[in-house]
Amino acid sequence: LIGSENNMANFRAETYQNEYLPVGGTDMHAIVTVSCDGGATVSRAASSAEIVIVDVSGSMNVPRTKIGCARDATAAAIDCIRDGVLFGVIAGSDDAESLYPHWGGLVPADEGTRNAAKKAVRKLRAGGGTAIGQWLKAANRMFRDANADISHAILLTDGENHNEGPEDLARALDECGRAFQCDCRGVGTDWRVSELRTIASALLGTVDIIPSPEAMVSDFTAMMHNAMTKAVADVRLRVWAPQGAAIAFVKQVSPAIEDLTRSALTVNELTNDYPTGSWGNESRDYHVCVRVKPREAGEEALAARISLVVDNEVVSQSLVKAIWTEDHALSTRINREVAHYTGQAELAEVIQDGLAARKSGDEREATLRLGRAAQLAVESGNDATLKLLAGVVEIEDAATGTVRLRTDVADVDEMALDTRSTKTTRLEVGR
Amino acid sequence: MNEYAYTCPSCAAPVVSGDRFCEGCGARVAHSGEDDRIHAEIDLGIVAGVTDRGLVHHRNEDALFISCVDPTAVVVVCDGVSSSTDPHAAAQVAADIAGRALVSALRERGENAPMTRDGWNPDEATLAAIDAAQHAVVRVPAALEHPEDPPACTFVSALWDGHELTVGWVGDSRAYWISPGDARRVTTDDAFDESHVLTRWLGADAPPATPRVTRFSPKDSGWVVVCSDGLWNYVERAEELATLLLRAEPHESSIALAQKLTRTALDAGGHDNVTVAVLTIDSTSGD
Repeated sequence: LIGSENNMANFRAETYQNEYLPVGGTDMHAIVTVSCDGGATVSRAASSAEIVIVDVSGSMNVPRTKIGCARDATAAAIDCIRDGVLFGVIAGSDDAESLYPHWGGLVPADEGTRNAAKKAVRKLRAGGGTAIGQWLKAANRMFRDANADISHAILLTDGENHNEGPEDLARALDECGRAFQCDCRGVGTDWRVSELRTIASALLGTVDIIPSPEAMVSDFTAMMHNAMTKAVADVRLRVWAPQGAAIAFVKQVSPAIEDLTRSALTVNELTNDYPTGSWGNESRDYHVCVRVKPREAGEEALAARISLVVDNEVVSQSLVKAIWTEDHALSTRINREVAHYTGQAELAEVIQDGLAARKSGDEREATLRLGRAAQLAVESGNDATLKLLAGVVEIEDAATGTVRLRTDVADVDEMALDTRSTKTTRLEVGR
Repeated sequence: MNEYAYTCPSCAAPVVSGDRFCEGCGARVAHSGEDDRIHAEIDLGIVAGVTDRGLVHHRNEDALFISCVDPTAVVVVCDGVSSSTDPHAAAQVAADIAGRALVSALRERGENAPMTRDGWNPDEATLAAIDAAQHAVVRVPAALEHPEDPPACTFVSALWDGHELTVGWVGDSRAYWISPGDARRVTTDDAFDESHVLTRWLGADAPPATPRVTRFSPKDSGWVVVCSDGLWNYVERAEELATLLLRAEPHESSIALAQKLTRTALDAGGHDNVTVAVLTIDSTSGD
């Protein structure tokens, strides 16, 4: 383990692949499991900053309990913030208001500041529109001034980004770069999944639905608890591919699918970095596909070197090899991990396509896609997704993908399926 | 001479990788990698060597190069400076490149002036080989990524042309001459009071200095022992080495002697990587 030499958190990477390619074969797939046993072993604890961004647009009054639940949830999140972490609360409408502290900076958490913040949160009133780009820009300014190693925000909205154009939001995301990570939550069913997914993807965060206002407290608590476990800032996945090869894609595939291909930062002609944000005690899987120049039968070459880089230091490295063979028994064998995550990616895709077809009234296509989804969910043991699917289709025979579209689908079920379609299961241990 | 002697057979890019694959095209290269170096032995008859990770360190940062075209031989031993970045890569590339440079110098001599010694300057060949090694170590990738702690290693070479032995060194890896009537250390350490604190090394941050070279003609039969400090930490004086070697059976092979010395270091604690090469010089054979 290369990582064992560093005084940093311990990162471990394991590669799963079938190293054999048929003669003329070019596409080498590998799954890399990266585990960080973080926390305690980190030599220099990273400094952190947290901002809670709460939607206070007029619709937060409908139903009446919603704004109250948002207050409680924000207060619960504040209670989770560790002493010393810089924090603040933004109230978002057509504009971004620094709810706490009023002067628009961030303050170190302690009992006094947490109480003062909760007092300010109790005064939250709903009214006005929704301009998420403004909220993000304000958060970005505060994070920049605070200059912590790890900057993380929670963003809550209940509606679509009505009061600015998509180009405003795109510009705001551009401005933020990856200066902070943002977990996004939509409460109720009046927000748009694609909008929040774009924000979460750009800012290396998660996206999820909170079906009812009452569930906000537990969701916010869990999110903030999780944020507090992050101890290693700015971790990058570094992929070297040989001269003449192309990186077909780099995806995070667990805990959820996130295509990182286009977030590549060039290190040199053959090497790209993919930012993965901050890490705590956790494990994530990546699927890398490199298109290499084919070699002669019997030749062995490297298709990729995949490393993890923390503070510009390589903390773990694994090799993806390729061996060309005329033995079909070897080259057609599909690696179990690669097959599993290829299936999980297809599952997410057919769900999203199926829901889109359903929306556009193409019932035949929707039935076909969602049927395939049921089949994939059963095969891979993704019970959570199967359960969500059952809210949108009646599953007659999952094994053959036979389903019927439900006519009485609740919005919340459809949105939950859409939002959570990218959540994957891991392979069961034991092989 | 300042070129890579070692290039990828597939794409001709210089190879410095520790993982046995070319940095350019990814082709597998016949370069000894990490896992080959826990314990490796090379036996080429009159010259042989052993490199061993030792009992404490997690990897072997020593490197060994041996070549023999009887009656000539080349030995290079390099020891990565453990406080530098990727010292194993520095040692490997330095040993490979200097070794190959010395082999081609010997070969050119043979072609230009067979059986004569006109125009043959082993001191110059040794200096050129060390220069090539220095240039290669500077180009190990980690040298760019860690300019504050660039890869570094020691260096010692023994060039036997059948008549004279030429030894060049930088740092505290050593060469000894052991014969029944004459046992002595050929090198003097580039270190403060033989304290392991180096005053010279190869690497991007190496102090500018001409490496030291010495040459002599053995009068008797005997052995040249070239080693890293993993051996001499335990067998320091030439007399101790002589005792160990002279106790051996007559005509014991070079590899058997190298194994024996390595074993001595491991039995004594094996605290560092151990590399030992033995060149047997038989003055009764040949001319």
